Amino acid sequence: MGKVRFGIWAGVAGVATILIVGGKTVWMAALIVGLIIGLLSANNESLKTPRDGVRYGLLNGVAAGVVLIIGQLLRSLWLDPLAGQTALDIGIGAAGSALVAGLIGLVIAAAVAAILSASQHLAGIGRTLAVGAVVGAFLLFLPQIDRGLGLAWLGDIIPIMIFIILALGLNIVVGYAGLLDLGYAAFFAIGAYTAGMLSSTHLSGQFGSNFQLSFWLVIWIAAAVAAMFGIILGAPTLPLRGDYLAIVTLGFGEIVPILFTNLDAVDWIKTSTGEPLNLTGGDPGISAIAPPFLPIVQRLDGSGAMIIELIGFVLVVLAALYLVRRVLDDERAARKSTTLTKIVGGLLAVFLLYAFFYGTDIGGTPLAIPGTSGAGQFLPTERTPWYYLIIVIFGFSIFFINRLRRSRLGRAWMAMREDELAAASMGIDLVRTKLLAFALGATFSGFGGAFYGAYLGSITPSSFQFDKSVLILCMVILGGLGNIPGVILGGLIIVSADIFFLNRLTDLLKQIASNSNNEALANFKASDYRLMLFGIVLVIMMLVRPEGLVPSARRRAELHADEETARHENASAFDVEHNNAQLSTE
Amino acid sequence: MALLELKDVHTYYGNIHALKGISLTVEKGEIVTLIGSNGAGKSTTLRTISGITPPRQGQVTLEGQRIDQIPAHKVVNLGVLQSPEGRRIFPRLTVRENLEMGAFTRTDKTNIASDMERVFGLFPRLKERVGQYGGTLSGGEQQMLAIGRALMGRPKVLLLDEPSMGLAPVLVEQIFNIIKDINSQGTTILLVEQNALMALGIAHRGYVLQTGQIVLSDSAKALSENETVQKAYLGME
Repeated sequence: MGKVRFGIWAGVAGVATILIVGGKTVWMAALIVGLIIGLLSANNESLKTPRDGVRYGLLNGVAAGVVLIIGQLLRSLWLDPLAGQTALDIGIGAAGSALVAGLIGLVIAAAVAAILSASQHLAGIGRTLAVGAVVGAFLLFLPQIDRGLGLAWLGDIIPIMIFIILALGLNIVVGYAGLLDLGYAAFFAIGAYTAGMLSSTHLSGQFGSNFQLSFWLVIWIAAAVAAMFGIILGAPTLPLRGDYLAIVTLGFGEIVPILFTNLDAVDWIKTSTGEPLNLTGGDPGISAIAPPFLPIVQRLDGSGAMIIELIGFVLVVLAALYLVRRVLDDERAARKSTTLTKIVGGLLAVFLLYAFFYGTDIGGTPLAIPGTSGAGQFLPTERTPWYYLIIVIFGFSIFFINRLRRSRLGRAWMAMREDELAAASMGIDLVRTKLLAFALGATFSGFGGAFYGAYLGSITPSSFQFDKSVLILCMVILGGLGNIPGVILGGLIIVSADIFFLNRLTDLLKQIASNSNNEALANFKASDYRLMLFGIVLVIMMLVRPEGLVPSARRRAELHADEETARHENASAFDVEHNNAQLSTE
Repeated sequence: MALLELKDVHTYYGNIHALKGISLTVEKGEIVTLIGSNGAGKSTTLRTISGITPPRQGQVTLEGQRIDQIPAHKVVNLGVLQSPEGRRIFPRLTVRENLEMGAFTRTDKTNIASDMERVFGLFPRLKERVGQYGGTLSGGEQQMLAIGRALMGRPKVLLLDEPSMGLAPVLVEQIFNIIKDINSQGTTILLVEQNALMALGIAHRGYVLQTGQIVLSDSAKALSENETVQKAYLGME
């Protein structure tokens, strides 16, 4: 049982999806369950070789698959009739179909889990490549799969990704640097409003112009402005610790949305018509925010042709880079690229990108003001290009944060979180280190905010209230403070519960109610209970598993220090003093 | 010129006048000890030198250069490293990571590696525990780690604050032998101790601190034979 415990839990999460959503969900659920098992197997220290990985993946994938079959049977034989829906049928009756569909799901889950967890335990660069290939393929084909199964999940996946990026940013501040920030949504708001003001005619229109900046520029500006406000907030909190810091950030989180509500008539700046400047749009916020503009956007449709084109493009770039290195480097230096090859390679990559984007589509440049040409806009109705865009931002964030964590700065954060005084006596500049934590944490909310504004096309102050800060903090804590896979999982669970499961549950209950004429059930709105649900989840987590679902090894060490000490007790009968004094008292 | 010199240093905690005009010198290659009872200002003196609690009046100089107005993290760069009171190792960092933090301001990778080997040579115990979290070490091991961590910064002056605190007598002896070794390898040490007997045993010179003032200073040998010192700090009648 113990060996497949994780598989069973993953299966239960998959079953929740099957039960609530129904239809052909089972295969998508199996795929995701397999991926999660495979991805998180990296944290399992008892697995040493790819062979261990395959065994672990198969065992847990099959366990999850069995649970999924039960779930599919429940859905097809119990819930579907109850809700008056036609159950999934592949031509052999409801029960048979459920069983076969579940079995296919089992195979998918086991295969994906086995492949991925084997890849996780390859040595060296092979691991990065194999895991990257599996996860990359999934992300690349997701719109295709989504369409094939008739799920239409992309509209939910995109906001989930936005919030995961926010959670990763907050994780820098809270998880790495140990600074409790209760007002993180404020930076999200600042990023979104910066983007909104610059890429709509909201501001320029009041001065009689129609100037708009392109999304590709604005996203960086929004990140920079958010980072700047990170420093502005960080500076006064420098001498504060723990509770006091939390209170100040809480205040900041309250002030920012109120400011954005009230800055709709700034008296000391007059518009071209002599009116006071409407900076933030007040309660209704800013609308008509221009979407990104990319000449090839129509081709970003997730089709097989696009994927082949993309893979071909990557291969061409890699081949070109390789050739450049072979030609320019002498044999001995062939393993290390010189500055010259980097420059030539870089230029080549830029040229190829240019050719890729403009080879067949003429018109506009990426920095052009949107609206000058109808072609090439990201449309609100076409979600696939948005999906690919957020995946790119997400990938960039993960890469960057991972590098940060291992950098000198990352180590300085860690030391500061452990013991400020000791960190200072190691030569760490606390002021700089803290401010950089706030600034870099805010940067990612700037990215998220800019995308959010462009994606929705409009922003209002009510989207950035305290509950968002709490939601993002919940993701970080639920998943595992300071651990990137943990934070991603936490974000996935909480946001999908918030915007996906609760809404679909409401729909399902409504259908059951109308099918059985149940008045009480018809008026039940599951999404009304979201905050209560998160509260309960957090309380349970703090009691049962305070280190989060996928903790970093360090947090496990801290919160289970007694067990850890006991493990080493035999070895260190060296000293009469009790081991743990340092952890608890000093 | 003395390596480290304090001239009429006054340090306050808020309104509390903790150091009332301390003057002392540490010459290159010495072990100098500061002894005194609880609250005499021993740790405050070290905190003043390392810039954590800057003095309100007076001067601290390192090789003739004033360091009393320099922030703590920059004092480290100049070669003043401290093994703080209560050890303050990083509990959730491994032994290796703790040692690496000691070399935080340095960028010379090969020398860092050889310095780490040197620390392992002094404290073989740490080598056995290299992958273990600092918080799971025993008190004695944590003290070794704190000293080793400070050594990783290649100190010109190593400030040791109560290395004997909370340790069994046999272990105290071991730690003090290692301190002596570190000194004989060329590191200047300013040692703060309540355990005056041990401290005077390995030091070249000593200062006796009482309520924020230096009341006696002499060679370690002379101090340990001094009647007042014997009565007040060595427990002899």
